[in-house]
Amino acid sequence: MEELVQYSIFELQELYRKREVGVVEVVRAYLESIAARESSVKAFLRVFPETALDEAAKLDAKGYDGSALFGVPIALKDNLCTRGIRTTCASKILEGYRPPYDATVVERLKAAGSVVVGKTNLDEFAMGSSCENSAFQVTRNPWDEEYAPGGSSGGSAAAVAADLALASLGSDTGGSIRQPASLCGVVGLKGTYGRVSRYGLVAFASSLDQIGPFARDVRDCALVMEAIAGQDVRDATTIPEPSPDLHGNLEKGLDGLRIAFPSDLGKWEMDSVVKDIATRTIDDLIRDAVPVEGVTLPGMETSIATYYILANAEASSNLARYDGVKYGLRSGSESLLNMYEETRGEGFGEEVKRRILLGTYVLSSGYYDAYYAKAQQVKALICAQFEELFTTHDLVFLPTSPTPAFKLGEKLDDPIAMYLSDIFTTPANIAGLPAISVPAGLSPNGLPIGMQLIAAWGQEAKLMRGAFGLERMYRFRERFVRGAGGRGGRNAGH
Amino acid sequence: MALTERELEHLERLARLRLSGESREKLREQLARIIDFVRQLQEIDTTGLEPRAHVGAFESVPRPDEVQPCLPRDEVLAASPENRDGFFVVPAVIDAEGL
Repeated sequence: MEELVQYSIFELQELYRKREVGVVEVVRAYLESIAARESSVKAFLRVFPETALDEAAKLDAKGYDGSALFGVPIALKDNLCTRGIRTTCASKILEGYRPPYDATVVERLKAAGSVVVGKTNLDEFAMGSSCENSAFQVTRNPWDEEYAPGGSSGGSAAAVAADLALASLGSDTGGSIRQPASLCGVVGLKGTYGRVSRYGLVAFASSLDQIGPFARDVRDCALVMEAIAGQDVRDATTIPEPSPDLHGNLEKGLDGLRIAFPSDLGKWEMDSVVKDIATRTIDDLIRDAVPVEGVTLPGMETSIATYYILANAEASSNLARYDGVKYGLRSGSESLLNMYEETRGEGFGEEVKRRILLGTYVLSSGYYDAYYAKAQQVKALICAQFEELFTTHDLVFLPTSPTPAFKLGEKLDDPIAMYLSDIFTTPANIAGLPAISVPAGLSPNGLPIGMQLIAAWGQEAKLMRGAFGLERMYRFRERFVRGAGGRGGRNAGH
Repeated sequence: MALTERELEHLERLARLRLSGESREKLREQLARIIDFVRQLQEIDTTGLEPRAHVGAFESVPRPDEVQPCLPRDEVLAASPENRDGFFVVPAVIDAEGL
């Protein structure tokens, strides 16, 4: 039973097709994995063993039908609406909330034959880089449980890393898929802005938010992305063109792709082992005759400030709906104003309040031009610079995170220190470009480090095959991830 | 240099959010530092650049103006803290002291 968790989506589809295994068996194996490890990892806010097994039984009765994610146990970040099932965004203000609808991505995953096993933990309203801002629990990095899994999609990343789900969905506004993917040693993908429908994703920053998959390898990640991508009439920002095939050409790898990397890597503060892996990758690419060139990357100096203005401004607007009227927590009853202030004062955590107030500030009269409008101009500049860069290059290569996982509690006192961990991820959000993190190596104390690729607008196909090429070079799973149940650098808590 | 008490109260009122206790002091100081940090953007030369809101290469894509089934009202109301006869119930909106 335990060996069933070792199979990738791609391998599992083969077993299903040949009728060598049933969905109930596979789901049961994952539920056993959850029973064994979840109490220490705490990736999930809730798990659905009965519903999952019911769904599995229905799929077995129907029999394998070639649907793309048939019988794949999947976990969903708890900011994705699931009809009738609690969706809390890890916030007290939505603690008992049951949405009356499924998010588009949830509908598509179900149509593709997957089985949802649970909702995962996150930083409250997706605001954070460590999962420590959740109102309910702290998720631990499966590679060493004293360390953070990253955030905000820390639960989804940890679930895949610890074999509690075969794949999961997260959301990425400033790096919230890629950074936890890097810290947990899994693949995490954010597509082009508009590739995946945001209908049913609880909004944080509407011009930046994108839903994307976590998986154990690039091919699996491509398969999940294909299942969820595509235009949706319920989200007018979705790309009206058909989504590209992402898994057909993976074997081509880096063939024919021209790579750009930051020529001034040395000037950015990062762990020496992160820099080593990045420079060794560049050396290896050169050795393999892949065209690489050092360039000045757009947005490196300015993207964090730009991001924190735009994202928080949009958040202050999006989170205005949590007012105690229509859903969620209600406190205070002396007057309407009193109800708003008490509800929001009590229901939101500190980081959320910090960001709402900052967003309110940069949008307020007298400051709008200096901050918000200015940030949008800088966004235009960053977009134009990337467009220029991609006329002569196909992919940008750089680290995902300046450090491997940090210890739980280490960055809580200094919000700016936490924000700086987004330095390599925010440019792709601001420019709306597809980007992926691929596990590359381990730090001296056994924590994963991922490397990132960014592609031009709409070019996920090039992105995925470039990522496949890197994955082949790094051989991360072969070197560091052992067989069934023994995954992920087993030091602590196993 | 922390935000003044008056500046913070102004933001609280705009955001309909009340801070209390120790988080108040902490946030006053942290917000000032964050504002300082993001202020660096003002040094970037953005002459001639239009503020960019959207990154896609396409115009707004409307859907056909047809009536579609929408969310069942009872299910929507079921999520509310208080409702009656198809309405959300809230404290008095018009009130001498309130707003």
